[in-house]
Amino acid sequence: MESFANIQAGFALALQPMYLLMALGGAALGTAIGVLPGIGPSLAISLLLPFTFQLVDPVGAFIAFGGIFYGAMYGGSTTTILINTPGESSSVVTALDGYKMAQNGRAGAALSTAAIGSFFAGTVATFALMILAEPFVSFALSFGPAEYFALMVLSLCTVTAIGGGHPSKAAFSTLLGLSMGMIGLDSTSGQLRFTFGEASLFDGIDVVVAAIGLFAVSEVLFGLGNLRRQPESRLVSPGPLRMTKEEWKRSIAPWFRGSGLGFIIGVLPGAGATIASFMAYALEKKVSRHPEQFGKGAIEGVAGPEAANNASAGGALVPLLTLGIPGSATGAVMLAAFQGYGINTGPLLLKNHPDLVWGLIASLYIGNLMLLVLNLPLVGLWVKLLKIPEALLYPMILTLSTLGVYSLNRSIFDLYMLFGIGIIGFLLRRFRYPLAPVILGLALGPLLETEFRRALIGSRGDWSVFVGSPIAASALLLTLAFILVPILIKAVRSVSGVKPQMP
Amino acid sequence: MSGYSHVAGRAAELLFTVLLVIFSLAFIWYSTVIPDPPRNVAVGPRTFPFILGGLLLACSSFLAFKQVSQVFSGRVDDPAVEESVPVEDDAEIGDWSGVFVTLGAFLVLLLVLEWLGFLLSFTCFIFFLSTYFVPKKWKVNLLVAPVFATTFYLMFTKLLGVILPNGLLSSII
Repeated sequence: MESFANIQAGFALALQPMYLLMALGGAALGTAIGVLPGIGPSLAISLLLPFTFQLVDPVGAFIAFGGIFYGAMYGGSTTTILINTPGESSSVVTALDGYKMAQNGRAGAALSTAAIGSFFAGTVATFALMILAEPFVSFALSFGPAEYFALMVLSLCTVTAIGGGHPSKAAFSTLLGLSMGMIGLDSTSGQLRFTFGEASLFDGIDVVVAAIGLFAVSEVLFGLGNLRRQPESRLVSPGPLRMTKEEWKRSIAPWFRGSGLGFIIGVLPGAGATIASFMAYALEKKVSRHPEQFGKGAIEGVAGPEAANNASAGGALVPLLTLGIPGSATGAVMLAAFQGYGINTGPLLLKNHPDLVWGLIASLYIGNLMLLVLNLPLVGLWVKLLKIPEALLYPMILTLSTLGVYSLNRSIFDLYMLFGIGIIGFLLRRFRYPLAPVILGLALGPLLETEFRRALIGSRGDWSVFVGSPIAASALLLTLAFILVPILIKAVRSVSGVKPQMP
Repeated sequence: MSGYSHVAGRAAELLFTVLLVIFSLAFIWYSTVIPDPPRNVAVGPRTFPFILGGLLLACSSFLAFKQVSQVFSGRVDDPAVEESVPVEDDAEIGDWSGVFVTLGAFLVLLLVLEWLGFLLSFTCFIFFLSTYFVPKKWKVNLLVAPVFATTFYLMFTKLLGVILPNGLLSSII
């Protein structure tokens, strides 16, 4: 099969010393980021971009980003299990049983099942990515502007409907991001839009600046705004990292189920690691012969979700690498990274840059193995990161953010934009508007408009072009379903007086 | 926890949604003043922004209406039930003075950055903020702040070759 031949070439590239170092660096950084609450992979990649643009080629950069993406999922479980403070939102559900296991003296077993499950799921997801890449790309090469437009609309709708937060607030966040994407020079007509005469806005708002402002600045404001009221966390010692025979037996099936479910959910735009882990937990509780043990230290409640969140990271790379459509804030920042390197995304990415794609996929296998080694024996080291006082950590994050943004264009205006977007991010978060759709909208907005206009120019203004093709029509129908079905369900529930259930 | 049940919290959210409506109206207005190209085209530069503006207005109006109806009915939606997946982090703020001090310090940093230079301004910034929140540890902060500021400065100037303003230290560095 062609994929196996291509992956061999990918390994030949990824095993070069420089790229092995990038994989190790990315994995270590990703784990550290996963351990530290509040800093996610999208922010980490945004902060790393100025470094990578200057120091490494695109292959090395994306190998590092892949390591960060997977590593953050591994690292998030460590703090969840040991101090009941999730380092990543995708590890929130692990706290239900992981911390309980730690309190029952089984912290080592919880960490082991999380790490081994993550390794297994990451490997499965990378294998699935490897197999699916070529068929997806072959299928996508037949897409025209109408199909692309419809798929991007579906992607944004999925993010809105199930990506997190109240759907109407998520919708506003998405639309806000799309409207931010309208700022600058219109590439088709050459017209300046929403620049208010400011030359620095002619190129629009940089996705990296927006990501750092929304995630880093708002996180710092929230972190320092709650510093004095945080309770002291009780760190449980990891202890021996061993699972009993019974624990191995109870973990294997959840690893398989979590991997499959996580990968499928990861492929869906917007339905990221958090949803994957929640659904995996619900599934494990449903199929378990002892559901009453969940919430009290059931190992299945750790094994399934941790496998799912890692598999979803691999799944999320499928639409990004094959269609050029990101499904999450991390994907949007990676898309911005592609654009920063002058690489066009879409189905031609695999054809024009096979070394980049196959090198990245091969390095994910390698990085996954590195992460297992980094996370199990070195867990004590990662936990030490939590001893950094937050009163020092947050100003350092702001410092690094400021330096990172300044190094992009050496523009003070960019820093003021960082400040302004940071305040917007803080306000959105304060009133429970999700931030990831803003970044996704900003990254996809210009592309969405371009495909929209191309479709209409090609059809000479005939709007039926969007429903003329089966793919475009199906995507738009699914979009409508995502919007209407929850409304109908809510209406039926309120009429019948049934309250929605929490998982 | 529920900031939402508190009158001030609800008033603040209502004000925020009203601001979103105003933003949407402004966006639509600015879309209409974008000049169209002289030739007849199927879709000009204002079409997409106009559509987005309409959707923004519809969405923000719905959110404002929801807030107003909650205020008048006294009913508060439970975010845990309404959200498809919980928004990642706690939305409550325990120390608003800390937020304003941080924002103020950050703004001052940006204003003096080029005059004072990166090294001096970041040293002062890290020391000020860390000491404001943990005054007992001011000696540690005094030691750590210049070390971190210098490390970051060297990382960007020597490793990445980014030229950073040296400000008052221009004659020394």
